[in-house]
Amino acid sequence: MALRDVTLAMAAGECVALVGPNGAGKTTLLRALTGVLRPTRGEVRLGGLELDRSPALRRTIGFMGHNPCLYSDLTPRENLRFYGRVYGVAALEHRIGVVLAETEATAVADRPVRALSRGTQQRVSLARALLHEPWVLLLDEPDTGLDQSAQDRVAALLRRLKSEGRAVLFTSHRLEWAETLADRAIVLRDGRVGDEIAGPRPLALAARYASPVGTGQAPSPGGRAAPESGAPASAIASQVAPPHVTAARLSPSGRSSAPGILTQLVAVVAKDLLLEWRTKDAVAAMLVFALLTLVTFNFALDLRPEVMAAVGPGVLWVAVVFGSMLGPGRSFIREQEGGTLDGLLLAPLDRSALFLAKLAGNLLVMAVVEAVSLPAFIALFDVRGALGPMALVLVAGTVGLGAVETLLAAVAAHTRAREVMLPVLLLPIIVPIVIGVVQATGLALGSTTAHDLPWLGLILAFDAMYLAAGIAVFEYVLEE
Amino acid sequence: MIVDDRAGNRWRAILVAATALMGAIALVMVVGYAPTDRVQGIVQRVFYFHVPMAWTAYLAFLVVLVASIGYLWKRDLRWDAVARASVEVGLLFTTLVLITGSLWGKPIWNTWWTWDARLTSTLVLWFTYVAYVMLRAYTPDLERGARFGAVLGILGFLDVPIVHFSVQWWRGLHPTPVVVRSDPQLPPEMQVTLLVSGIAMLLLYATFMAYRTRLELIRDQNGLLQENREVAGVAPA
Repeated sequence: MALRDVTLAMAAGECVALVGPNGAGKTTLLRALTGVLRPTRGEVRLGGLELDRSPALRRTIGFMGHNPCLYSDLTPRENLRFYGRVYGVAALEHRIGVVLAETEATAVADRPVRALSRGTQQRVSLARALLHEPWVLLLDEPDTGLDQSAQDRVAALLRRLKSEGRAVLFTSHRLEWAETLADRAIVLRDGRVGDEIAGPRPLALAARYASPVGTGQAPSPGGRAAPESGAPASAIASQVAPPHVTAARLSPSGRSSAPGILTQLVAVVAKDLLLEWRTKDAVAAMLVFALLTLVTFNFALDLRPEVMAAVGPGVLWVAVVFGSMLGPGRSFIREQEGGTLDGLLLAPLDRSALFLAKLAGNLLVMAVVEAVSLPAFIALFDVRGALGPMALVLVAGTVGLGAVETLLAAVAAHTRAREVMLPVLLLPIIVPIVIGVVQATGLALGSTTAHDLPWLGLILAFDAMYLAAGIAVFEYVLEE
Repeated sequence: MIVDDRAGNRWRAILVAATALMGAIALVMVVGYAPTDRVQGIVQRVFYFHVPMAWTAYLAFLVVLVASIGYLWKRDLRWDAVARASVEVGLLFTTLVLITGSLWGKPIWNTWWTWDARLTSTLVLWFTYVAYVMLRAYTPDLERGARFGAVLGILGFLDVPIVHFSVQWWRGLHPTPVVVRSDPQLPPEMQVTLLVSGIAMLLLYATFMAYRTRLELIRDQNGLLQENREVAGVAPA
């Protein structure tokens, strides 16, 4: 849903309900306010700072969407541990205990998320949004899937957060529930702000909700699009009222600190490896595919020694390339299918760091596959030669291959034919490195007739070029 | 958006006329002016199409690179329309380069295809931009498709030199350049004919680009209008 001319300002300690029919643009607006969705025009400012230019400000936002942004094969505690590390939450285990208790999810903290009910997942998702003690809370239908008592407890929690000076913007289709919480309600319809209503006036809200945009009713006190007397905590507009809240005021509570990039990187890699360890849905397929490739070529080719020497390096790298293609693709498809990519994009995690983290995870999985494939290749193809240099070529080649695969897998995962797009995109691009590694492997095995050219230099140049390209353009790939 | 501009129509008509005129002159020169190569015979005349088409194809992909960077920088869909158009036109020229190269290769090298450096680079380029077209077709969201296309447009062109050198190190069979050097080996008649063919091919590229880009802009505008109608709650036209 497209948004048109939406200007919204919120003060610290204010609770605003965003209401409107399905398709009115509520979710789009919330996602734009988080910075996950980049508006075509306009900007989001927090305490006067532009969110788009200060990604670290994402630490001040807690978002709960329709999708819980939880890894279904991890437990709530593991999910919170991961997000806590990425957000740089101090005394993390204690804080996890606190938010689990606040959302009454302690009892299910160590069960896999996929085994939890919709309502329980919703509560854990709220715990995730609260974990880093954000000053701005954006909650998309936080009451969905909750029974009456859980809704009451969430309402009490939101009131407490508001009393702490946090700005809360939430959507709901339950108007009575929304009005008991909100200081102000904004009616959104067809991507435009229809009305603003201040104060708890249930009947008025219900009436405005049903009426078309621009019915001519007078705007409520405070006025449409006008900032409240306090500070604008968030806004999407071409013109934004001057801020009254400093960036320091908007930083998360004292117990959190800006996380180091290495800490975030390790957190993402550890999470990816833990997921892979639990599911084994990439490494198993990659291994089987690589081994099947070796075996198939071994059956198909005439195995006289001179043929062996000529084709061996090529066969090894075809197996590595084909096997490795399955991993990065699976990693991104898993993030996308589970809706967890949003969770990563919401985090104050630099996109380049995310690229490097995803690459590191992919390289580790590829290393496992190669560790099994290489002995199988040596045995099946009766290879003799300098295994040390060959291992060096394998490592250098895998880095370049992994960099291109990681970047293009993120692209392919967002296409309609994501299962088939990665090979189509990848194979033409990796031709140079495939030539390089095959020739270098042949040299290492003493089986190539090629001139003694600096193949390793070519491989390293390819690695450097695509690592740099990945770091530079990954943010454009992930952008919504 | 530039969709209905009379000045543009006039320029496009002039471009078509210039392309037709230059194409006719080039054809006459290829058939009647340029001498027949003593060694290769009449098949050498394919060179007057093959080489200019290869130049034009590389130019087209350079335009894709520039337009891709322009799109990521400015986020203006007009840059993307230029990139999309140039990919398609470049792909057409690359296909013709591969076909004419094969037609020449069979009698001269006695093979339709060989893994020579320049052939391989051109084929890899062809696959890269086929992937671009597929990527755009499989990414229905225009803005996201534009971003993905721009990323691939940049990566694809960055790959060209490294593909070329890697294959050149690997194998090298293609005739060395005979025009762009300090002591050109081509006779003057052949050089002039090649130059005229080159200009005709560039004009043909410009003509295709003018029409294709306009078509893409109209298509984008229709898409945006449709989106506006949906936002306004009007039934699709």
